[in-house]
Amino acid sequence: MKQQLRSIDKSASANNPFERQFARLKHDVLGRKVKGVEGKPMAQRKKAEENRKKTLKVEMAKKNRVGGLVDRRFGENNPNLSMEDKLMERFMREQKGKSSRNSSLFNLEEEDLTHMGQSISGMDDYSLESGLQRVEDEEGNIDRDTVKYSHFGGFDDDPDPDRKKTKSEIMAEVIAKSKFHKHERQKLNEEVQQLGEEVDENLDDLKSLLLGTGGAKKEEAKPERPWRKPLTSQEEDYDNFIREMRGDARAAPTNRLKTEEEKAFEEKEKLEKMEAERLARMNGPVKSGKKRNAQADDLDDDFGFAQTMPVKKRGGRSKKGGDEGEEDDEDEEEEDDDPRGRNAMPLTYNKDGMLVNKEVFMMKRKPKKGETDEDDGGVDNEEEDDDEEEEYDEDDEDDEDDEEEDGEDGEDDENGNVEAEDDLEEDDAVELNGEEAVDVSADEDDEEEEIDEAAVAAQRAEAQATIPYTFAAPTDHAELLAYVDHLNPTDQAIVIHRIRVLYNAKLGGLNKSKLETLLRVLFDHLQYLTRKSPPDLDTVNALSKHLHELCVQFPQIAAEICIRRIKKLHATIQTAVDKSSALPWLDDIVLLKLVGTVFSVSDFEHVVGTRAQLLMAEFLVMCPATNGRQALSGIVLCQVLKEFVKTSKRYIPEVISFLHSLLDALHPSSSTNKNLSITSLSAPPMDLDLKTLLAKPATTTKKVEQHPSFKTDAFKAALLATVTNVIGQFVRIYSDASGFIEIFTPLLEKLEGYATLFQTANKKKSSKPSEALTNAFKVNIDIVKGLLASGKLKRKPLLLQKRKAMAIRTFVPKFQEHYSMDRRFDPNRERAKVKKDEAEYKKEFKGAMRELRKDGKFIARQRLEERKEKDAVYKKKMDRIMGDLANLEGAMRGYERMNKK
Amino acid sequence: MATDITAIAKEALASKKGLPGIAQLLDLMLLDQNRKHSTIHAAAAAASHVFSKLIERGDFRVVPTASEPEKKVLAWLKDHLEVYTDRLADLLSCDEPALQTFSVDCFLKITRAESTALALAEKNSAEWTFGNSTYLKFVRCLCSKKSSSASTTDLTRHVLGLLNSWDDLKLYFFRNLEKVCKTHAPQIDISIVFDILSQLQPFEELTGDNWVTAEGLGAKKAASIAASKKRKRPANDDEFDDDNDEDDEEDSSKIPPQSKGAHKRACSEAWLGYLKIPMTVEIYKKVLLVIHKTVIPQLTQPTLLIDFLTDSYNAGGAISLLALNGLFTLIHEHNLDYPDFYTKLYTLLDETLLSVKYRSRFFRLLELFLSSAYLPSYLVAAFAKRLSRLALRASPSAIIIVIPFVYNLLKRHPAVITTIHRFDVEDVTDENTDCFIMSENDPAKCRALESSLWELQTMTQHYLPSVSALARVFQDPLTKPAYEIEDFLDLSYDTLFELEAKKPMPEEIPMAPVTRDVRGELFFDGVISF
Repeated sequence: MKQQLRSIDKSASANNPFERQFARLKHDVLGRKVKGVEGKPMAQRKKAEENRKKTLKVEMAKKNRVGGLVDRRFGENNPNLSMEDKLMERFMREQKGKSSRNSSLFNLEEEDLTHMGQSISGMDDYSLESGLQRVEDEEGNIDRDTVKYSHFGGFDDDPDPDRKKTKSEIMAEVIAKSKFHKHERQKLNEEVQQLGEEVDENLDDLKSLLLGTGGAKKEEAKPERPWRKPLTSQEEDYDNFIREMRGDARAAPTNRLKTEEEKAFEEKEKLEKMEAERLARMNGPVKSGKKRNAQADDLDDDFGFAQTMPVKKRGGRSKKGGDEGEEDDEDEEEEDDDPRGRNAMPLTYNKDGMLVNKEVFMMKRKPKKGETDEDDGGVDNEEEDDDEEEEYDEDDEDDEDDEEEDGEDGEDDENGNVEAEDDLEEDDAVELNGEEAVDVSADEDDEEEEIDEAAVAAQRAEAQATIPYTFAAPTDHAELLAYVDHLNPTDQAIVIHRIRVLYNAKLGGLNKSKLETLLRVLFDHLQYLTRKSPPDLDTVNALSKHLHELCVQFPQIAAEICIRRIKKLHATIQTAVDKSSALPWLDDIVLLKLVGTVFSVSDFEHVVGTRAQLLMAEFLVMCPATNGRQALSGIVLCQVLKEFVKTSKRYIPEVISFLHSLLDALHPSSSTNKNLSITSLSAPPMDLDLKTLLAKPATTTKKVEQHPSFKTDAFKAALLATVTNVIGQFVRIYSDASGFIEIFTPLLEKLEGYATLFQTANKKKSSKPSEALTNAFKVNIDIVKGLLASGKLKRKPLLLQKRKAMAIRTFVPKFQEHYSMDRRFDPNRERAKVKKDEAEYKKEFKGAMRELRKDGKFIARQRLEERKEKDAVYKKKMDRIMGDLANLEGAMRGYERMNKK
Repeated sequence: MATDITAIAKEALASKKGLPGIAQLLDLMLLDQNRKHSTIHAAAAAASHVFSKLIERGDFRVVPTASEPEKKVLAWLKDHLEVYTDRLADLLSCDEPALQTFSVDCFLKITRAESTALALAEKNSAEWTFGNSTYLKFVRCLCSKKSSSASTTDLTRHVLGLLNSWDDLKLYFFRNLEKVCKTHAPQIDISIVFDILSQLQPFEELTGDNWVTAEGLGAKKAASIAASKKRKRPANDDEFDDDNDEDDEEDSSKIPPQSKGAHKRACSEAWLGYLKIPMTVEIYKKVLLVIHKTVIPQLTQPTLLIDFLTDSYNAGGAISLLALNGLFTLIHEHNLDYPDFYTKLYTLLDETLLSVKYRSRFFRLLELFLSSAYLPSYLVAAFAKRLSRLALRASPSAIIIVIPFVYNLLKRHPAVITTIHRFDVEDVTDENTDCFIMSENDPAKCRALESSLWELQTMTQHYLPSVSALARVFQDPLTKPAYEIEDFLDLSYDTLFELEAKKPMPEEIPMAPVTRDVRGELFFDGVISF
């Protein structure tokens, strides 16, 4: 009855309109549910009060109390957990705590193992199995009980099958199972150990079998147990052997070998990164979008020389470049280049089981042979050789990769520019993907071998053998000359290579400075070689790679040397009275060419490259082509400049101007310069051997003697052909320049003038122009014409001032579909998030304040109640006392009155 | 020897009997290889002393009452004076600078004596006189061609010092020069005349103090000034030094003419006479270089130079460029109306323009000529286009001038911006080809306005970072103030190198990756074969 009443009361209170409160909605929309419209303040208040009573009041009661009992049992205060769950959880925790507390997790001894609820310690080890075996009868049938209890689901036969197992039971079973398996494993281990012991016993036999000696000893030792006896020497050996084995470095886990795809991808990425950096440098400083307003002092600031902003940017970029440089450096440090492409491991077999590095393997022997032939007591040498060889080996692997990449990088560059070489690019790509490090080296070795065979192999071997293996690092050019002057180009390269290996910068010490000196000395040597008469260009070619690598290793020094030379050349132009004598000789040209290959001259601004280009342009302008030598060195300079701008496609007006003037000068009807004009077109062009034609004269005589061939028509025809070829090269480079048509149309006119000249000469028969010359003209005129035609198609009027149109301000109100007050429509995500967080914080803060206030009120109320209670008690007490006293007094008065009466 | 010479001179002065000694002196003055310069010097000095004294004494005066022997003596003396001046002229063209300058002094001494004598003869007339006969000879000799070995620097300096300090000498120099130019044009050494003419200071104020002949008449003050002038008296001239002091001052009332107009007229006539002589190219250039600064302000009628300048302007090449300056001065300050000036200016933009020495001078002027905002846009466009076309084959120092120049043009003439930004592509009939006609010399017909400045766009790819950075201004909004062309004019390869050298060495120098010569490519093959 009472319950019934209570339920009624509950439902009534839930629907009691007096218990509910409604907020008035201004714009009510049907079907929309708005939070917080209906509230039950009384219920809420009551709930909050209850909560406080449970928490705050308890705390208050506990305040200033010391000691007491805290029930920390798991789940004791959680009313949501059933008793069973609580117990289960407690058990789990207990187990966990035990196992973690105790390191002997796998200690079987301390734990009591059970099987089917019984401790197995009491059982015989194999009693279970034996027990099972026992129940088999003679025919091998298993009795019913066994089947029932232990076969499929045999553990299931509880007295009460319906009862679900408790979790604790399941857990216990799991544990038991795992312990059983552990035991099994242990047993297996023991067996293995036993086997090992047996092997130990028989080791002597085996050893003797293997070594083929000590048979007698073995027999001697046989009858006795080996470990009962004091250790024999052999056993000691064995122990030592074992100890050593233990001491040997174990195979450490290495990084996972990369798959082909990954390798290829990484290489591709690296190449792309390098190329991107180069492009960034090439394009130069990019103006940022932010522009300050023009100011009065803009004039000078914006002028290229004193640009401050770009310089800053350059700094940033150079940092990037720096990274790359470092990389290079590292590469270089590792790199200890090996032009002969030997692989690291001498004994490496390929998939087919063939020895991959036959040469390397043989190589180790070769020098030794030579030495034994040569001198008998070369022991020291030999050791050194070995060391050196090891160095090779260590470094070579990296080398190969690096060089591989570098090589392909360079090729890529080329291919990027010359469209015609697309197929080559494809080849490269194939190579890139399909190559395996080992295969590459194998290929290379094959190549190497072929070359070796082609060149007289025996002779070389002999020569190599005669070259010493160690050198003191040369401190000046004279020392180097003492080493290499008598050698042929390849051997000179070998000497340099050996010096570089010997003083590898990685080996530390003073090697770095020694190599730096080597670089300086090599530059001197280069100068020496190119100034020699006749100049030794083969050696220059052989050494160029070393020079390049050393330059990359020490860019600062290389730059310093080159800048000094460039400065000197510039000074000779400026001071020369007769400008024609200031023209560059072969040595200068070789140096400038080296600058073009060694430094990243495609950069927008390069400390060496820019100066070199400026110098060459100055040469072309200041030294007009009035005689054969000037014309020749000028045209060679044009070719060197072509290498400089091949990738960056920078425009050099001086080259075009020079080509114009040379074409004019060579023309038979040239009025200005009779020195160069061709008299007869019939002479076939001669090969221009720069070695003889441009070699710097040994004596610095004032009068530059002219090579006799400069006057010949063959020379002039060769010049003419070269000029047309150079035009053909530059026309390709500049085909994308916006002023392309303007640049090359006048040149084309001049070329066509020559072409008509050829035609008229052709008709005469007597002075038929040579085949080579007409061909060169035909080909190059076609190229120029074709590119000009396509350039005309591409030509568009300039639109340099085109800017993104400014948006007109709009006054149309922004309409947001699905607009909601609660959502934020800020397009700036970060700002929206900040606003959201702020709002949330504010809300939470308010809530917390409100709660605290309510807490305070609750506490005050509580205190008041307590006080009231106390007061009531006190009052009651006092009343009682006073009542008693009054009674007493009344009684006394009554008594007195009674007495009075 | 020296004592002999003085003795002879004294004797000649003392009595008529000594006069034949003069012939001896003149013989001693003959330039001979084995004769010492000091002897010649002494003889010349003595002879000049004797002659000046004789002239001052009035021995040269033609007296109608003279007897026959006196007339003979006079004739003889006149002949020998002639011989003497011839000898002095020889000295003037010899290759010893000391003798050259000394002969100048001797000439002047005779001139002064003559003037004094003339003044004394015409004592009654208030007219100031100048004995010009010897001086005319001097000027003629001075301006005539010398032997190739003779250096004229000392001589010109000495003469210039004299002319600049004595107004009458200058005046008569101008007058005589004009005469000489008319009569002896082929013999004139144009370079020395130019040196003197161009360095003569213009007349500032004519006080009457600076008259060498007036000094001869005895102005004490003038004498003291003369003493202070070192150049006036060479050191070895001591023995005659006291002569000036002995001159008693008399008749200082005769003040020479001070009309500035006369001087100026003389000057301009001398210049005009000089400019009529055919000149070598170097001198021509030199004259044109200074014409607007030194010549035009000194002329009474600068417009008389029009013919000269127009001819020069039409000559073509560097001469035209140089004539521009003088022509501009005439147009600007003297109201010269020059038809087709801009057309001719446009034709000056030829292939050599950007490489000639006077490039910066030309651009300075061109900036001035094109600074007017009222020029038609076709004209400005033509200039911009032709300059940028020329820049395609120019050195960086020239390109660095052209880019800001064209930028300034675009700033000043917004209509020309179509050459870097074509708003209306449809208007252009044939947009693919450049419709600009480079060979057309008339800016109105070259169709530059329909073209674009692709050439300057190419310069953004220039190998020099400073140039390519500068060329990018055309891509930015044209909000920058116009460039000061003067800042860009004086660049050369040398200065560009210096600017490069000033750049700091970067921390890391980008290097090219080491390439493997897979295809057997050599670093340097050294043979160009066919």
